[in-house]
Amino acid sequence: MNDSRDPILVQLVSKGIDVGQLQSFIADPDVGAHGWFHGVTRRRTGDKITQILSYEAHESMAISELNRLAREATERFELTRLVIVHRLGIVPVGEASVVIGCSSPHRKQVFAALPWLMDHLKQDVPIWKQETFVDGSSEWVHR
Amino acid sequence: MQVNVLLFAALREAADCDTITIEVAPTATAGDVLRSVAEAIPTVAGLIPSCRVALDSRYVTSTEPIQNANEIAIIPPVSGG
Repeated sequence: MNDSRDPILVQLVSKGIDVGQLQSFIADPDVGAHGWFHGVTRRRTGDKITQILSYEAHESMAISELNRLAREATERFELTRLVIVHRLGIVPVGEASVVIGCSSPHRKQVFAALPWLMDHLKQDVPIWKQETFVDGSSEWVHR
Repeated sequence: MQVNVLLFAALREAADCDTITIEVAPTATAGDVLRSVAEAIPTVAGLIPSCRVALDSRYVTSTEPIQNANEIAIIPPVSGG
């Protein structure tokens, strides 16, 4: 259970995301719903096969933007706890690059918060992915 | 005056460095920084119109003066998640 006063946890990590630890962060006796989103590296995009994704960030700004989004989401969706972790560096196929977990007294809030957070993360948080394909070519994704 | 500008992702790779020093007027705005960087790195000039500028880790509009900023960063379209 999380007894800390700050209901928000935001992290950038360089290794696999430890979801077990995050589960205890969003636990609270007064919530009735935990909601999770795991964004993972997909192997196939159209006819291209991805070998790895690699992420870089403007780290201090990414932390500050993630905190801003987290505070807005907590207020907007009446979340009890919220954790957002983004991985940087190489993320192999099938592993998570981003994990968002949130808890709230009722399910509707967590169902609504997750897409809102991911949409805004993809729009404003200064993190970039570079795709490397099995044919050896690579490209930065800027869209 | 000379200012350092942080570069990321495709911009960083094209410039082959993570910081570029450019010469701008003391009254320069965020938009002036974008124009100067497009001239300095012509290989990515096409990407510049879709970039944003952040002063001290905060997005600003193109008319914002840069004079009092401690850190200037060019933020290409992001692709986290």
